[in-house]
Amino acid sequence: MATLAEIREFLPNSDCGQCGLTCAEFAEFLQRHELAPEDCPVLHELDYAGFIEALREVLGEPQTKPAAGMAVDPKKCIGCGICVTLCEYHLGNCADVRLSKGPRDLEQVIFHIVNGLVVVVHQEHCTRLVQAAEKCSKCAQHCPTKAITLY
Amino acid sequence: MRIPLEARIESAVCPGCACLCDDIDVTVVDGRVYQAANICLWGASKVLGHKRFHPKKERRRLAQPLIRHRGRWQTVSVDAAIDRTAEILIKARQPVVYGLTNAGCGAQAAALQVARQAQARLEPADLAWKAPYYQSLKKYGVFWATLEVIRDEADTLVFWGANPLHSCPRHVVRYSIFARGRFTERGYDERRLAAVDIHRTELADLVELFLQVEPGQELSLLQEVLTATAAAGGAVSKKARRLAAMLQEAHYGVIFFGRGVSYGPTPELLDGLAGLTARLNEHTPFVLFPLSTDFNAVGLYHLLLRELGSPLAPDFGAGEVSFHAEPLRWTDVDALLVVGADPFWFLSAAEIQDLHERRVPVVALSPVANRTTGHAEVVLPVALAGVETPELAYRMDGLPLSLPALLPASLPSDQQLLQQLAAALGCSHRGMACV
Amino acid sequence: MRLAIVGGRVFDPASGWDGQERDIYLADGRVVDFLPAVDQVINARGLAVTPAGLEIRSPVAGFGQNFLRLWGGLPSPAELGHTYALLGYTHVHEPCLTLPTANYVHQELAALPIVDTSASLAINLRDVDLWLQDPQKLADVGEAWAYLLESTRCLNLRVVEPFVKFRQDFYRYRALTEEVVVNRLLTIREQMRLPLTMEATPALLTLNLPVHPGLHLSGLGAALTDEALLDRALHLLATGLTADMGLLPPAPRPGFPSRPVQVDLGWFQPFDLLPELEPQVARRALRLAVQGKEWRLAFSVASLLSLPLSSFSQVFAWLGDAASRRRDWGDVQLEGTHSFTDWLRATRLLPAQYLGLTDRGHLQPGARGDVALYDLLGSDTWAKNCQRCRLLFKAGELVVHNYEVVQPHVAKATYYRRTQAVPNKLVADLCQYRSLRPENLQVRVQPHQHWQQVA
Repeated sequence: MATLAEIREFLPNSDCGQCGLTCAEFAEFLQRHELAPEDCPVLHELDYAGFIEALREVLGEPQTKPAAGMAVDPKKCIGCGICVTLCEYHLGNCADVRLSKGPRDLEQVIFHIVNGLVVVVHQEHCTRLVQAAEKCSKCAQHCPTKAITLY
Repeated sequence: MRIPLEARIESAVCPGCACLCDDIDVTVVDGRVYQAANICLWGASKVLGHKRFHPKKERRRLAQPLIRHRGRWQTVSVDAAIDRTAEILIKARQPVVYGLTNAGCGAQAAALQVARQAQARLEPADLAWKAPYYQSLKKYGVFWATLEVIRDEADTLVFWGANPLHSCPRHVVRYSIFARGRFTERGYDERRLAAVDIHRTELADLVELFLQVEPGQELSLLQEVLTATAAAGGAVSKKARRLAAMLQEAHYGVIFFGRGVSYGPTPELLDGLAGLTARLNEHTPFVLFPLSTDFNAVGLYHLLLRELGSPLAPDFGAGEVSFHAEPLRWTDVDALLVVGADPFWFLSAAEIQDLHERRVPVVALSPVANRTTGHAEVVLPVALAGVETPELAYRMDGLPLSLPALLPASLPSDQQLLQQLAAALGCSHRGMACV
Repeated sequence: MRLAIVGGRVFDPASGWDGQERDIYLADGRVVDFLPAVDQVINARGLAVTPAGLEIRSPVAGFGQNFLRLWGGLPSPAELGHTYALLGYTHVHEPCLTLPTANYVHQELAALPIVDTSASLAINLRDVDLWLQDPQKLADVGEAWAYLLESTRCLNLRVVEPFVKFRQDFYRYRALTEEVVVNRLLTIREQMRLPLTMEATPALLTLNLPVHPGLHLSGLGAALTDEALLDRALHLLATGLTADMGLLPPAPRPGFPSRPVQVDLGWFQPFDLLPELEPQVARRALRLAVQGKEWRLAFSVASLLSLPLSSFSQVFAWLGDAASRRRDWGDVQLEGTHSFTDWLRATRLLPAQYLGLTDRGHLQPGARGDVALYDLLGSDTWAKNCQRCRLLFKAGELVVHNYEVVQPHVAKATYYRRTQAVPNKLVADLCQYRSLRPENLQVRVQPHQHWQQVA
């Protein structure tokens, strides 16, 4: 995987804010393949010709499976929602879940229960993945049917 | 491809269990539930029409009223099936209206009317452990709190013969073990938990104190706990002492009990639990809370209490209504009307054999094919209450919630059919021709 | 339908009629001055013609009351409705409805036949303590309560615990005394013009309560825990405060076990539905009721368990007949009795004023045609006549005829106040902490329920 330094070599590094981010933040999104080099308006300028292609080469193909994450076994899950309510990210970011209710559809949540099974929606917010040092694994630890595997 | 949204129902109420979760967001496409968010597997199986323990396996819906004639099924009209049912009930000496815990309030009220008209006994499906519970209340008094208050205040929870993860999965998240409330902001981390069961259940990994007891030993454990809380002398095992200590250290406690108590000597167990609750209440608020499973079991007891003044099984047989705390003896029944339950699922082979030999006619009102419909003489298919027809149901703490209809119904509701049946019975009693 | 009730002796404290022989005309369900031609004439000769009664404190539908039926403490809704009608009542007010139990209470009220219903929204001050502490935020609190009043379909606000305390010591710094609370509540009441009822407590009686239009002290009887409080209550009444009696029985109801029946709804302490009876308090309550007849003291009993509806005629007799008082209470030293008109004022006029139903409780033109007719044996033994009414009209329709309910399915409605307030941040805050989503806290209108707005 490309390092952030490698990526930033091919960014304007002017923090112009046209994409709504700083160049360092933009680089992180590129690294996770959540944004594409074309999303930087500055790189389309003539001065930066060839940078987009170079970035594509540096970034490579997005991996089908991220190096770390979580998997839910649909055969075991009973949709009780313990993971949803215990999730550290939800605790700080979703008032409904903090008060033991189900999140509304449009809320940015990591887990959502759909048709009786947990679905991982926004894995990228997971505390364990963002701040490796925290090592939060409450969802898997408290799952009564051991349906969640962290890797 | 973008799927055209046909209907979106937010904050629908789930008829899966007595939690009646009210945060279900449903998307309906082409008359089928396409997606239901925040619903657990049990609720999903009901809303999506799957088998409860086998998700993705569709349950067979019944489409047309059937009557068994010389051992073979015949498709008949609704009116004919109702007439046949009325005939069966009138002929019978000891007819029983059974079940109703999985039916909405409207259907329950209509069933009560049917029982009255047919001079039948009305038997709630979970009478075996609810009747002793209400009798224990009568003896020791009522200590009650809504689930919301339990969520907000309770710091010590005991599950006695109850596994919420099987009977009402989201209970642990919304109201008990993991729920965060006003004075329990840290949820799971600041609750003390214990469970008593004869099997090792999923709760074992979640609670601080899991007491696995041999079948039949619950009562002696309970008596030891009672002894330990009384601070009087007496032999007390270590685990009973630990449980008693936990209860006494509580600031606000709840004892949830479930169907598990119906295997032991139920009246004694509930007497003990209610006595323990009353004793603990001398120092700390404590609540004794039955963990009802079926979605409107509580509504039925509310109805019986309100209309008849007793939560026990009413029997309209002898003109005057009498009440029974003892569960039905199946050998006494000579006609059975089943609504919102599946008794043949748990009846023993000998009991089923006996019913067959005595040719006890069974009428089943059910949305899906089940064991009872398989043994029935008359089968009346109905719409799914709370999914295809709007209904009212009582949450396990006794708060009523309106269940909106999510899907269009192609079949009449159980309430309609029971009202029709009550009318038919009323007419035949007065010896008039039905119109 | 035009109707004339002729030849009866009309008692109506609002009009000053005290047994004069008059004819009462009803057209389209209302009382009118005169009708030249009528469809039906009711001969009321020898009968007392009075406005129909309104019960302002009838805890029959509150959450948890159903448990009392375990001991046979409360009749079924059908029986309750019939008994009220036979006593000459057409309106019943439930004192305790809370935000989470609103749907429950309205279900139970809808099950009562014949009588119209309404309820008080009991507000838990613990939920808004931080807002009450800040004088700047009182307007928001009033706005939120006004919104909740309409969304839970209630008629007025009721404060059961006029203080803020927490069970957990951790929150001690958030406690508010009775004095501060009353002060804040009166400010809110002034700003929003919301009718406010406070459940009487001993602490509340000792405060220097101002006479405030729209402030009502409810259930005085149970708060009279010592003699000084009785004097204090009489003094408050003399200053013009409106209140209701909260009568208690002389002795516990026979055959009724003393068991705790506690329902916790998240208040400072669980509601005790079967409180223990203290005979001295009950005696003071009776003395207050008899001595306070001059003032704005409406009739009420503390609970329908200790004094069930079936014993109401006996309770009326305690007010109006010294002999039956002596029989039931023994050596109670009490001067004075209620006259028939005093009793009518306490059971009709004052309750109607309290509920804000201007067309009820009197028989002047424009009033709704709710008329109760009683046998008239003699004005000194009026209490005997009131055991059951001979005829009852509700909105001009005959409901009771010759002591029997003839129209059990007469139209009924639940009254609630229209405030047109919009939800503010406090409403969102209050709803957020409930276990149900806000849309499921709203009172669902069932098809069989009828609603009537009061502006």
